[in-house]
Amino acid sequence: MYKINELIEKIKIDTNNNKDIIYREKVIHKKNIAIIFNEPLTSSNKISDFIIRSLNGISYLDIKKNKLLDAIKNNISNFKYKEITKYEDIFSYLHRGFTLILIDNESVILALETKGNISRGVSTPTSEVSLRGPKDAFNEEIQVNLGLIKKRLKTNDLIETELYLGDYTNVKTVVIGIKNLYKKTTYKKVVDKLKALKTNGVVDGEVLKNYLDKENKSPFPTTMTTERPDTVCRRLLEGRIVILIDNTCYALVLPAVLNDFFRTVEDIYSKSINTSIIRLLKYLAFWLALLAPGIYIALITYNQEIIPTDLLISFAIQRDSVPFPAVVEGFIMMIAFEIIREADLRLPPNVGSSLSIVGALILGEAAVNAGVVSPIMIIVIAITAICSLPFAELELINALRIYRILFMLGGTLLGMVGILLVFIFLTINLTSLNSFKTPYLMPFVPVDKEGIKDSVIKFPHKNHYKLSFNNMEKRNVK
Amino acid sequence: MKKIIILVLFIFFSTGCFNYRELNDLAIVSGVGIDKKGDNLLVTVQVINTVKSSSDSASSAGPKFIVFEAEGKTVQEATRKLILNSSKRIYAEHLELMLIGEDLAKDGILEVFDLFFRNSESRKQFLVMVSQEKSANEVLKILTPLENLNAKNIVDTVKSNAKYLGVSEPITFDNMIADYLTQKKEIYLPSLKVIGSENIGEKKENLEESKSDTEVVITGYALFKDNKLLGYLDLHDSVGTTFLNNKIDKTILTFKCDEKDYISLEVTENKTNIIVKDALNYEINLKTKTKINEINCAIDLEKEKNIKELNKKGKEYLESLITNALTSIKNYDTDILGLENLFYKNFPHKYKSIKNEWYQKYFKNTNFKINIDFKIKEQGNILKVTK
Repeated sequence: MYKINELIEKIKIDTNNNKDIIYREKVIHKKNIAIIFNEPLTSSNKISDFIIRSLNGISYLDIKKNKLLDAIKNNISNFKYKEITKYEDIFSYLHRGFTLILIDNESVILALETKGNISRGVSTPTSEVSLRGPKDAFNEEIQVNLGLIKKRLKTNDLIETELYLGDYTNVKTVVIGIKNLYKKTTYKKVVDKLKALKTNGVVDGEVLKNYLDKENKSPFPTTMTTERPDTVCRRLLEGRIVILIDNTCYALVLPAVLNDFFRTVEDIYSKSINTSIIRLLKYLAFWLALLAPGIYIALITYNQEIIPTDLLISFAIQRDSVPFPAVVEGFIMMIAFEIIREADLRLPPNVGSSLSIVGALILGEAAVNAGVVSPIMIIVIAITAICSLPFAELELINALRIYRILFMLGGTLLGMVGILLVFIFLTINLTSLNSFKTPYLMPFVPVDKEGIKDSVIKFPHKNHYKLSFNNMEKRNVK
Repeated sequence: MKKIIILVLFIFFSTGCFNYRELNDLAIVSGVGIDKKGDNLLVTVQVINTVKSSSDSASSAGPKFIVFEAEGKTVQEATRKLILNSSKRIYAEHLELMLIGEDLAKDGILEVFDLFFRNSESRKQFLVMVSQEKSANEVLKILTPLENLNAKNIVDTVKSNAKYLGVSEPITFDNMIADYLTQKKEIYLPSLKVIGSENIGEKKENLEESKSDTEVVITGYALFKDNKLLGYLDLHDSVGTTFLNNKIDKTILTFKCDEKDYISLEVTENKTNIIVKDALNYEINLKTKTKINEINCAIDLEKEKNIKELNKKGKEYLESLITNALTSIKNYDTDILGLENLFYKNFPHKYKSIKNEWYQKYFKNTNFKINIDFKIKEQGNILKVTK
């Protein structure tokens, strides 16, 4: 039993007199009620149309027969309402766009869904473009995102766990898996880990991504992000776990292994033989992006005898009168390119064109003419740059960059031997890496017969390959 | 983990950049010439000019190669003296050609090779050739058309002629040394000659007209015995020698098909096999496939009889070619065919008894029985003679 005035005073104190919370008092047939809502989160139309109008429509007879509460419940035209009995729950509903109806001398508060439409509609994907695939992408509204997934997976077997994360943000987070396909222990581990998260705020999925990736000291990413609901569904069917976070326009997919970053949306829609050729090119691009500048520096400063004579003459002429050692030259170009790339990502599109002029003319043409760098180095860096771009995952590109620099250093200090040393280091790093107990080089090491059919070469298939967990217990990874 | 990272870092920084050499500091050698000059050796080095021209960033300014020369008692002394006039380090791992002057070749060439064989810093797959008449020094200075680098030009010429003509096979340094040291086979090397006017070859004028004044031409094999030059085979005998050594890829046989007109057959496939009967008697089996490239006689090729006739003539011609080559080789009295080795391999026990008398008693008196399986496989697109 509460009195409206007392309760309102209490709420006012607890919300620090927030001006956004509107208290509207109303009298229905001599009984006092109050309507409370958080203005920015609610739709004023919904409140006036469905709540106030419904309340006005309650006749005297209705109240005479029943209690006021039942009359309101009966008359209100909102599809969703909750009865709040605990004082603390008031705020969680208030901050999620519900409208509360307080009735004098009642023990129950009614919460009615009147969420305002403050998200953008479902738009087309921007970072994972596909010619033939569906054109819908996640937006910032978790309810919409869940809808996009459930629209595709019409099953009772979708396992969902709802969590609210962050002391101040209280962000809704849903962990999804498909029963019988996903691995229970991994699912439980992810949920437990998220529950244990102590943070003052999760504004966006990025915090979670870093938190879940934290054990991994390697630059290579062990979670995958995607903004496409169709990709999410495919990964779910492969037995992976997907995390949706409110206010985040992408989903986190885990576990993610190296091979996953080579598989793109478009692959599904092409014939497998055409996909295979593109995969081969991508794997080639991966190695070129890693090794090209390192090997070039190693060859040109240590192992000149490996280069064919004609090519060596051409290199020697181009290198002539370049005042810096090949390494310095390489790093100048690398740094210049990375800065341009970073700037290009951040700049609004209409300023971007001036950047490409600066990049192409000043760094390419003028640097060669001025004799600061050799044309061949520009070619090498350009090949590297092109080769690091066919990957959608930004984290992978960044990891490639770190190892590229290591390879350059190795090549500078020890020649081909140095390249070999860094290569060994890279191999150790990749093989020792786990993504939620899945070995990072999974279809290759350890060999997974099903998965390897969708790696460097893609075989035609009807079903989605299930991510194999067989070998992991044997390996006894931590 | 931290310790491991620190250790790995130490691997990199504990090295002193061993063997680090920037490309700008290297003088890339494409050819080496060695001559005799008085008591000394004259070493000529052909260095690729890698100075960038001002207009085009990918081509060099001035002549495409530069020649340095130095004298010394040994090859090593002379090559080190080269540093006196070259600002860059002489870098011989891209060496393609070693040219030996005639004078030096007559005195013996093995001592010159010691450095190249012993040293790890040059690759051993370069070609070795003998320069007839002119010294190697002069040949390496000649500017050549078609291929900018003189040494590469010579190497390419030898290789293409081995492929299409069979006058000389390209003999690489490592094969030559291996043949000489491990098998009882004498050295034979392709040779070259300079034709045309004197002293123009090294000037730019040589490239300014469509017909160069001075040209380098490949000639027949230079024959050695005990690593000393004996003399040269002419072109026909050289082709015959290549046949005998089973190194023919393609070549042309031109002979008379009637009283005055000629026919050219292209050998498309050849396999030569020498069988040892005893120390004096050898059987040479050839399996040769040819095609008619050109025919000037009025012969009807539709009739099989005529083809057989041509077949017979071709066989006779090839037989004479080989017999002539064998005679010339026997006249020089040097076993470049490796018959001694062949005999040793087949009859190791008998070999001991003839070992010391091979040249005195046996080599000059060897008899050869030549069996040729000669076939004309293709007649070309037209059967009737155009005439």
